[in-house]
Amino acid sequence: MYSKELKIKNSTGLHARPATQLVHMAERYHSKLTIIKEETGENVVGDIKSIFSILSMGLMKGSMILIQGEGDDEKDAVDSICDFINSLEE
Amino acid sequence: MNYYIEHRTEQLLNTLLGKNSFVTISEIASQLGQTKRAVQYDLQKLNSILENFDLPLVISRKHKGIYILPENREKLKTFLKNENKGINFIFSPDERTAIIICENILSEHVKTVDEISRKLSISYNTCLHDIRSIKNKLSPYEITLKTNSGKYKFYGDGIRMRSILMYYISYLYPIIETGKLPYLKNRQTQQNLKRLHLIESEIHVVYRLGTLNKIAIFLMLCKMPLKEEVSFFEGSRSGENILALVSKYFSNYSENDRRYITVQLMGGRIKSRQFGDVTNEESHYYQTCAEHLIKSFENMIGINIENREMLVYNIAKHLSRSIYRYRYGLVDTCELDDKIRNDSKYLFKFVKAASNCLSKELNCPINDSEISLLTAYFGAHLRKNNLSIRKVHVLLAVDEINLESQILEKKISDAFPMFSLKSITISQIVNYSKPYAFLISIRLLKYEGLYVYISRQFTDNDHKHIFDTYLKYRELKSLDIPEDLFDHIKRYIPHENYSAVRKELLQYFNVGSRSNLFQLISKNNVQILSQPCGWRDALKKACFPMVQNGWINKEYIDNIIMNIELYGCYTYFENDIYLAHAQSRNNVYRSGVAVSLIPDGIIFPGNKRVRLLVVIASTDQYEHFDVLKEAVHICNDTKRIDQIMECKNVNELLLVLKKIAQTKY
Repeated sequence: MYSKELKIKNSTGLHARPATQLVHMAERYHSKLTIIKEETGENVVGDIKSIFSILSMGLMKGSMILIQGEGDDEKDAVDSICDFINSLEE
Repeated sequence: MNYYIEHRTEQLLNTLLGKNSFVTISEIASQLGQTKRAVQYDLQKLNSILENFDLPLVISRKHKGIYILPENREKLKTFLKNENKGINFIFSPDERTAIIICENILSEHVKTVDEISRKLSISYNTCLHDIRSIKNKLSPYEITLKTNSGKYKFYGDGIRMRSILMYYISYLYPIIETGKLPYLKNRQTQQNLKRLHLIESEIHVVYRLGTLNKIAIFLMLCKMPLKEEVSFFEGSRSGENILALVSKYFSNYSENDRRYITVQLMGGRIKSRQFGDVTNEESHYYQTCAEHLIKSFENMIGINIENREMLVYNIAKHLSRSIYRYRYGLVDTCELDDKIRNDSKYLFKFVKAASNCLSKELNCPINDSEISLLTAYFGAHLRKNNLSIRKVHVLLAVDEINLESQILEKKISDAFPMFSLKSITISQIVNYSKPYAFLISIRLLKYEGLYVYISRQFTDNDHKHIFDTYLKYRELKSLDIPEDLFDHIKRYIPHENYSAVRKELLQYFNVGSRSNLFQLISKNNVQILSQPCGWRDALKKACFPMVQNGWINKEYIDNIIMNIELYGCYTYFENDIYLAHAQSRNNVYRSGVAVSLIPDGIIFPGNKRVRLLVVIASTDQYEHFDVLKEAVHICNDTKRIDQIMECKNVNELLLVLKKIAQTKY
């Protein structure tokens, strides 16, 4: 298990276009990949390999999220996903 | 003699040549993204062509599938290579109209009917028919097709004509890639492509596969200078930069055209103003568009979307970033295109039909890649809102709530999406007061009621098996009791309270959550229509038993007819089935399904032949969505549908339907 915490910085958040890119990227890895967001005391968990799951989390600018990987390529996967989210501009 | 092989048939042969063992029809169907029915149809066609050429056939074996013997492969490969010797490729009507539009909409040499029909090897009359259907297809976008001394010419807004050209290039692109349409080999396309790649490397960007190819083909086909101004990237540095490069490499194009190419190359990097920053008027506009889209979707599916404002907000936001893409016909695709289209076929179909209405309002086409993104919003929203209401509330008892228990919870809810799980510790069970359907525990409990015991050592499959067995057991216990009871007591209940009482009963017996309307089918609701009639009359006849039983009133039939007139036959399945339904507006008193078999078939709008008419009515919109999904599954099941179509009388039909009802989906 490997995880990293980060904050969504781009102004439009993780909407459909970047989310599809993210899912596409996650599909290349074997590991089970999840996003965890804390929302009023309760954890919302999303599967990074499912577009419906990611989009329904409503990840906006400023959301603190935890990216978690579980599997043989977990470190690679989590790192590149964090890099991707950090690199979003718009 | 000439034989014609369609793109799809050839694709099937090619796929089969790549397989080293038997494959089932459904495997092929899912690989090619087609229905099983279509694959079976193509297989028949393929074999008859091979027979005519005295070539070895594709063999099929029961329970194994289809296969080309290794010793025959070489022969068939040579056959495919010699495509020009006596075998030609033909296009489907939709492909043909797309080709005619692409080659003529912005061409300076407009063609006569004779020239078009010769080029596509179709008859003069077929060509006229195609031209008529093109006129219909383009009229919502205010593009007209007029003849001038025998030659056809397109008139309309230049930017809109370009976005239509782009739309149809994307539509034809899978065929273009196979080389059957020679657009990519074209010398001019190749030159354009070279220049576009130079620009690509100068701005240090890597475009997605196919994007530049499509733009290069567009430039080859687009011969008319753009009159309208393009002013989309004022003040953007990267825009000015690309424009300078485009001007350098495409100096023979007009200023407006160069700007148009620049917009294409900028793609997603055009900074539209953020939703929060747009003027009130603009944000109101996007909200209205989103409202329209959602309203059409609701009418079609027949449900009200829960937490609607949230979806309106999200889609309005998405549209504020996307409408310029529709307007300019941007072709860069989204990465999950095919995945969304295949994984959520039915949802995509409905969103596509709803987007059609939006596209007419916006006056520009919306391509499938953009529709998959809209589908993603609908899917995410339904997953979070509407569907959770239909979920079975399940308690998961664990020793301690920690990361490990969360992973277990996640595992179970992944395998069983209809469970709404809540973890509690074993000691909390006694005091838990909220309603739940059943309890799962990872320990043996001292507990009075029923619970499901699972072990950490079990695999996901074991869990699946256990829950399946348990759910079946629960269902057997409660099946049909409330419905039978309702039938007995309904004469004592005022008509207007029917649905409330029934709902109460279902809830009491706890079956509401897994209802299967096909289980409720009775002989009264099944008929065979052998008298020829129009589609409206056929619908009325199909609904008649339900009206007679007092399940629906006539208004519901009018709603169904209106839906077809407004949105077309969006729940038509390629195997001649039409799923008729509408949103209940207090005109459904009891949920039910009526099935009519029409042996000779009836033509519905859009030249669609219907042989099986399934009418769905439900009082509860959540149930409606479930039944619709279930019906879509059944309609896609070729084997069962074939059985239905072969029925000769009502008794046989009822028997087959009952059998289907027993199967779990």
